[in-house]
Amino acid sequence: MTTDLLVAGGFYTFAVVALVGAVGLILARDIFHSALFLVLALASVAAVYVILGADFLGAVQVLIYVGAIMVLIIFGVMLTPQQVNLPDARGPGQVIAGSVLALALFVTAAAVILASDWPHSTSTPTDVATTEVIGRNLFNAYVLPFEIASLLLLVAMIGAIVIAREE
Amino acid sequence: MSPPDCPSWLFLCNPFEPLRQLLLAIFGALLPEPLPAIIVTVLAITMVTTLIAMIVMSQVWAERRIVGFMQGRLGPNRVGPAGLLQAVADAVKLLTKEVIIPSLADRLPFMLAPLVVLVPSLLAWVAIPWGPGLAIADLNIGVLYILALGALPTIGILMAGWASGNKYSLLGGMRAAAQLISYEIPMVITMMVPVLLAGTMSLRGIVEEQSDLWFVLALPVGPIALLLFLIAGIAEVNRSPFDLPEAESEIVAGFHTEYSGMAFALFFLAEYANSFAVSAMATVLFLGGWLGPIFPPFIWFFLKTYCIFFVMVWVRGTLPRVRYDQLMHVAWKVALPAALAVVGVAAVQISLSLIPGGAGG
Repeated sequence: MTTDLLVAGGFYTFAVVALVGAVGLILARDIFHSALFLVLALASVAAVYVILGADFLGAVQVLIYVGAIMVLIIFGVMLTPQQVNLPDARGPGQVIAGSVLALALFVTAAAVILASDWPHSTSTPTDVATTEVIGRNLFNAYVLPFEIASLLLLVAMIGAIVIAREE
Repeated sequence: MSPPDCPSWLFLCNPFEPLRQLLLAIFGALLPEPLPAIIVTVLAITMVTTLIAMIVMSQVWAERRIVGFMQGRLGPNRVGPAGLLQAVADAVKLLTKEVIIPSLADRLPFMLAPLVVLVPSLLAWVAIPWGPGLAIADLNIGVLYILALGALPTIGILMAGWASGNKYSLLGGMRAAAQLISYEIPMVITMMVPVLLAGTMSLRGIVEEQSDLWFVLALPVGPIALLLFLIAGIAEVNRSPFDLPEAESEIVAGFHTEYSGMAFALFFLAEYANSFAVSAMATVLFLGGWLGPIFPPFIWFFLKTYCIFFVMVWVRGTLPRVRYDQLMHVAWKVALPAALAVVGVAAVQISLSLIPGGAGG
């Protein structure tokens, strides 16, 4: 009973923090602050993974998303000229069109989420060694997507080196 | 989860187990189910954090004295017997200084940056086992957890460099971030060697698998992996000879130029706690953690970790600071291929069962 309360409390706390991060990302005036809000959002998602018992996934989320991808995004933010203030030239028509579009997307997503049949698991497998299960699946059943993903990363790396090298 | 068996004749093998059982029994009688374990864990975390603070003080003293002797002079020896209270004096000085926030600084990231650097290094101590059953949490993804926490201070350093509003800080921050992400890769790959040899990512499991043979002696991959891990580890904690981000003679003080008083104390604390964590990880992964005859296990743990820390101080006193392009060259063209080769050789050895000592999950 108390465990359920703690799990629910933890989930709602981190969900609120993730939403704060996401909203802050959009509303922040300074692009560096947006990057920091994104760090907050991604870290809260990692916390939710851990609450759900997906320990490997939570650690990898922090290691890859927050530790590597966000560092590169912050690098990119810091290396772009900061004095460029985008002109605030949006007419009322754009605001209305934007709001309608955002609302339509939200309603569609909410309808799909509420209408689908989510499987309920009755127990949290807290002692399953998730790393081993993920590893076995990744190298047996899902080895083709795995190899294609690594090929994709290799192509991106080669492309970046070719674009950035000195002539 | 019961702690591994301590031999009955070894006094102080696990000194905290009776206390833990007592506290669990007391709280278990008063509170519903998951709360006693949570409260005992919080108490353990408080204890470990205090212990880390005291260890950092001893590290500060040891480093200044040892580097002093290596440079042909005595280190600080006036404050307290043999200068042992020097760290206390430093702490008092830093606590009483005014924390100045520059007018061009971005206030909230400026104040949060030391925390983003310090908290992951303290969090890493949750998983490291001081002795049999003496880890706050025996995570079955121990190694991955430590790696994930090692990636977080980079963001703190970038925040500090950017939010200071000072071009020297920004330079220091960018250099630090580039150095940290470059050396993270050899470190991650090298840490996979003990995981391969032990067959588990749990730190307690890795120590227990070394009861026949320490992984550093699993030739030929052991010593090379330890060497690479130490190089990457010293670069990850921004210590000399890799302390370009805080190079005092080049860019004032790099990313922590604008920090004074308590904020600087937090960076200082984070650097020493991090270097002790790297030493502890080297001990646990390669040198058999708390294994050893006769003495209580946590004594062995401290002994080995302090030996590795002494090697780090020795390297600091001996080698000059590397240049930035040399740093990047070593990371990408030397350490990374060497780490990949070591992992490859280790994997081949395990699949052919050629590891001395019979390790290999």
